[in-house]
Amino acid sequence: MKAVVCDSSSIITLSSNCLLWVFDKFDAEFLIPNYVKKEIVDNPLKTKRFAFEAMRNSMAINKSLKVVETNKELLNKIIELSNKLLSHKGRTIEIIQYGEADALALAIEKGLKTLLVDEKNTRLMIEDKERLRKVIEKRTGKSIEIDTDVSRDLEKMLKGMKVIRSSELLAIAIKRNIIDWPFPKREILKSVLTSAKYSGCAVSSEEIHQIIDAIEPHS
Amino acid sequence: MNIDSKLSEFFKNSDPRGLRSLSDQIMVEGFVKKDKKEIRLAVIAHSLSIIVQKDYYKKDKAYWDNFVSTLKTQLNDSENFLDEIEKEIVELDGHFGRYKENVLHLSRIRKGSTLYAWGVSLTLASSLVDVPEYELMKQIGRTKIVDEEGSQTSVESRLKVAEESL
Repeated sequence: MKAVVCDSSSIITLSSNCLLWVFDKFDAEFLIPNYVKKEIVDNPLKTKRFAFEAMRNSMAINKSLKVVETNKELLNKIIELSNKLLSHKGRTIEIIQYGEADALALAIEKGLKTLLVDEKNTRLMIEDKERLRKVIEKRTGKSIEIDTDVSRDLEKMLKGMKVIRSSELLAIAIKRNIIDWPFPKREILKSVLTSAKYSGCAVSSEEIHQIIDAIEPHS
Repeated sequence: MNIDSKLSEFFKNSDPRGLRSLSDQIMVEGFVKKDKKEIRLAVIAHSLSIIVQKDYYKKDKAYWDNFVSTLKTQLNDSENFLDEIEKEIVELDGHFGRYKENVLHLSRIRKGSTLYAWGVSLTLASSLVDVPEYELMKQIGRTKIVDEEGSQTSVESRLKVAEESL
């Protein structure tokens, strides 16, 4: 069976839009590590405002989402490397924490190549470290250096890993009529992708147009 | 002039622009130094920049005068001034009936979103400003952060991966 590793951001997007049920309709397993479970269930459960979402997420655990233990050594290695990747005047810059790193550790450990991640920075770290460096430099106005040895080590660890977002997952769900509402497909795509974007999925407006055209071209 | 004195000065002069620019300056330092205290101070400076420019905070003159004088003292003297100023700001909003959506909380969300825009992961940004990820994502979704940055990977190739993986 196919399997996809999810981080908390993608689950938050889907849960905020009451779309966690979509997971069950794919012929794939959706795996989360313990730290992600903590972020989508244990932590929000303690808050008044997001306890309901946390309960909704907890109902998906063991049904749509399978929690898998990860190797702590590998997890710590990923955190160590990621947070040594960039620096300013010799001072390393912390960019990721346990949640994202645990998802990466799970994917590496199980040899899985697809990650479902809605937040942009972990995605950039996997796909384009130089762009991540430039973003930080441009936005903070500080010179940022990249450690090429660390970058190489990370590259090796994350080799072949591909990132999809809830936007792509939802687009495929619409293409396969999993979300089959009585509205024109282009309209469903537009509304669901816009809603995902407003819930924090890092997809640009231009990409939304491109996804719509790719899934349901103008007739 | 050190940061605390600048903060005190801008607040005394009711200078929102000064406070906002100081907040940005402190945030950058807090970010590169991984210093949560500086990030808290940046949030305070941002909250104060909003407070000094809103007239409704000054409606109850006696309460406002007391807030200003307490804050001036805390900015100058207190050792644990971060905790105390945060408490004062929350109480000020509480006085006007805003409890959960107080200006300090809104500033935390704003600054968390800024950290995310700067390249910090969602989880880390959320823990640095003490705001749930859910709340931060909603704010991030309202911004132009992603539209400004674009993506290296094409939509077609990402859809292809999704099609094959699902």
